[in-house]
Amino acid sequence: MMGFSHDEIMELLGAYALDAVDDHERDAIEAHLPECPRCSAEVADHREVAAMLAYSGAPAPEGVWSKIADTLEEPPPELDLAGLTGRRPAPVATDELAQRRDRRDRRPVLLGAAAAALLVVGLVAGAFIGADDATPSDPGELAAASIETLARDALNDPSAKQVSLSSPDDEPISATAAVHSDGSGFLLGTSLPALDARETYQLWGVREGVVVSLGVLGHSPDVVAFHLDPTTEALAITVETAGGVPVSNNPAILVGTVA
Amino acid sequence: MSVDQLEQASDATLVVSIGRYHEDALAEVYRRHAGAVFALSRRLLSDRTLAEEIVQEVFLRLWNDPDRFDPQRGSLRSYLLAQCHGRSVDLIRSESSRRRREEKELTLAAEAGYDLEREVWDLAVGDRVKNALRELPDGEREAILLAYFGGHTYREVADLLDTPEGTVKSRIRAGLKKMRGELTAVGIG
Repeated sequence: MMGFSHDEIMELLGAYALDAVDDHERDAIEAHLPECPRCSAEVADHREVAAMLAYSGAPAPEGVWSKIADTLEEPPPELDLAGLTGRRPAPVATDELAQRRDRRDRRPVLLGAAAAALLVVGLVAGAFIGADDATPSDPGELAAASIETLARDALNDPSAKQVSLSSPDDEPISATAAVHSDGSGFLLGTSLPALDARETYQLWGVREGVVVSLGVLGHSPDVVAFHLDPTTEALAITVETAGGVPVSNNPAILVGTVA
Repeated sequence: MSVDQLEQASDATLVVSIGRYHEDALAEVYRRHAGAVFALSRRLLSDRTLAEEIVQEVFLRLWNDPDRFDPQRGSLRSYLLAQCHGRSVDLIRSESSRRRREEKELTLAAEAGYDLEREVWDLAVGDRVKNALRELPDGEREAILLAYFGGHTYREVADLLDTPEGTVKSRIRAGLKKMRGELTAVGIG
């Protein structure tokens, strides 16, 4: 706590909630709050009181909303999907192109709502087994072989949805997935280069604009089983730190629509 | 969501929709809370243009980073107002020491007649909030108002009121706790 005792931190919480502390005190409190539910709750209470002090029935300022609306970003996942499904945007003027290019640079970033992290629990019901985790002559090898067989079967099953994942930046990497109608799916045949062991590939599903983790693929994935909600519209893969993340802020390196 | 659904949706539901890039959800949040955000910022900055910029910034931040709002930690309104207050205070404190000196001199000159009642009445707060504030000991009320609406740190408040710093921070905390208790007891908050 940067030299502050818990009691000292607590004494500052009222002033902190009113933005009335010095920078070094604020830093100490903000380092402390995530690990102290009691202090966090007290700050929340103080802020509720402050909000009531600030209460005003004044109308929203005129003209400001239109400025806000003008600067809102377009939904990233939908724009990604438009390109992948073969729908091409109409020709646009050069400066608009530049604008879109600028947006595209940020578009594949997998931003999710708080709800996305919650949905992960509900959707990640299947097993996620990276074949790179299997070692020779152990049961993992058998499991990997079995998954590979199932994956090949899924690829050849005309009733399964086939998903081709390609690079939005035209990098020469790709992956293929096949998804049965019950939501069980397999990602295989990837040309993904092996990552440093401190990193991992992570698979995401996009449904109604919400991005949900479907599993951590490991640093050198080969064949991976996953499970997704049948209404999932698209798959994406990012590179994350080993262990994966609940919500990604990184760009997708591969994306593909679930046809 | 339809207009009816939007109007009936909870703030937390609207923020989830904002996370899904639903612009109409942001518009509904704006309709509900932008007036309060604007009023607080204008009060702190005494500048309509700057206050409008703060409103814009607060709502764009919600659009770009809705995950920062945690409904478990308080209402959306208090979250937006806290964002607005923090940003407004940053602006106040980034101004030149000249203005800060002037402000201090002004406040000191007006100390005897510092019109706390006017400060409160101008807020157009509900009667119960005003009552809760009025019932606080003078020292607690003054410290809270100078910190919150004056944008002063507790050290500056201590200086302005010629009171030890430790006393001021304790008074702010105690006053906020008492108000919370009062307001909760009458079903607010």
